[in-house]
Amino acid sequence: MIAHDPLPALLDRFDVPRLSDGLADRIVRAAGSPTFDTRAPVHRDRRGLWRRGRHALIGSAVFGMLSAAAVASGLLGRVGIEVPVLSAMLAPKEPAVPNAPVRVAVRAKPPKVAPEPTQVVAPVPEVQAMPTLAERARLRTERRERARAFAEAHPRIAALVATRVRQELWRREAMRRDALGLPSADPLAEGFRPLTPEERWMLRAERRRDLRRAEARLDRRLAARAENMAAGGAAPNTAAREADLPAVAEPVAD
Amino acid sequence: MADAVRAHEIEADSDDSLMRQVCARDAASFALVIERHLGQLHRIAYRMIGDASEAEDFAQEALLRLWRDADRWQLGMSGIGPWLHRVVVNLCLDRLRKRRFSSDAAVPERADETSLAPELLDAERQRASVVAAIAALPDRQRAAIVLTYYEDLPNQKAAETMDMNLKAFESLLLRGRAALRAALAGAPETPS
Repeated sequence: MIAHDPLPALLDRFDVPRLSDGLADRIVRAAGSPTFDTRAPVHRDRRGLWRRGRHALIGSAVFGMLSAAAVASGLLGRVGIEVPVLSAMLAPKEPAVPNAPVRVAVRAKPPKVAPEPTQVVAPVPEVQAMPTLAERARLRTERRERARAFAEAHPRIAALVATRVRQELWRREAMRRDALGLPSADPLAEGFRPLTPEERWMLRAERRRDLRRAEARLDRRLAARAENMAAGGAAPNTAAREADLPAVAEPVAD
Repeated sequence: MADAVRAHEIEADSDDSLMRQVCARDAASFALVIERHLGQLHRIAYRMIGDASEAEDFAQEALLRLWRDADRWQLGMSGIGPWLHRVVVNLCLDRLRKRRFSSDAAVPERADETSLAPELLDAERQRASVVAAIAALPDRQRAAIVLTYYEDLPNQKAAETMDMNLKAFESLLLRGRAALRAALAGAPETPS
């Protein structure tokens, strides 16, 4: 006696839905269509196309939001994105000091003097209070006007600056996500997934922290410059300034 | 036996003559090929990947590849069916390498209140358990089950479709059946 095998009966449960109406006709028409390239690889993965399109759409939206956030928060001027050469051109001009003697650039070699001992400055707390809303709005307006004037005068340079700023923003965003263990913002990257509300909150908090650190650095730098000017000295030289500020490519360390 | 051989020859002859017409870009012959094979290709693809829409895409792609490559068809080959099976199985395996089996079964928006609902629900549960068991199989084991059990292909033909030798294919099939039996051990049998 042959034992009853339940497997075939169970497998029969996996039925197949009906074919779409007119599919055969559509295939014949597709084959006969003059646009059907007989040498080109055939690809009809509609979902794949939609998936790629969706990824591109999400990528564009993320990019747009990042750019808008950067402009709205004044990141372009405050985060300390240093574009070599061009950042100097874009740097805000110091207001003239009243009654200050006119300084004439002297090309003669300065006399040799012993270097002054390095002044030890007490460490300034990293995180400082943000400017008031009114101050931030005023600064933002000033920055926009300055950027607009510059873009009108030097459109090609402005476009280059914008590109590099975007690249830098992407790089920093990637570093932040990496540090927080979040998936990449690139929708085509492996393991991409939308962030949860908690992760979005963490990322936003991290962005704010970075912004505050950058502003604190900028304030220190401006204060040191003003102090130096008031003491009658020259503006701090580039080397000192570079030592004070982290390089652009450096991650913002805690 | 002789009849079976003769029938096979007739079918092969018929495939070759059909392919000559297809090669000459005869739409009617291509429509005949589609009529003969579209349903089977769709069944294979659907049971491999679990998505009816994608299964149609793959069946269509296999047929269009046949149309595209008709001028390279060599007379006396194993036939149109095995060629198309191989293409569609490879398309499905490629697709499964990128994304796992995913059923597109629609979820009802509300409970069915007709008197048959409990029976239908049972049948749907049984179907879901079988689909899940097949989905849980490794891709090549699933292909072996689909070709031999659902499409009734002889082991030799199924092995050729999957580009394997017979021994390796039979071993794969055994493992697939064992895994299915284990997965469906607690599933209720079909009501008589």
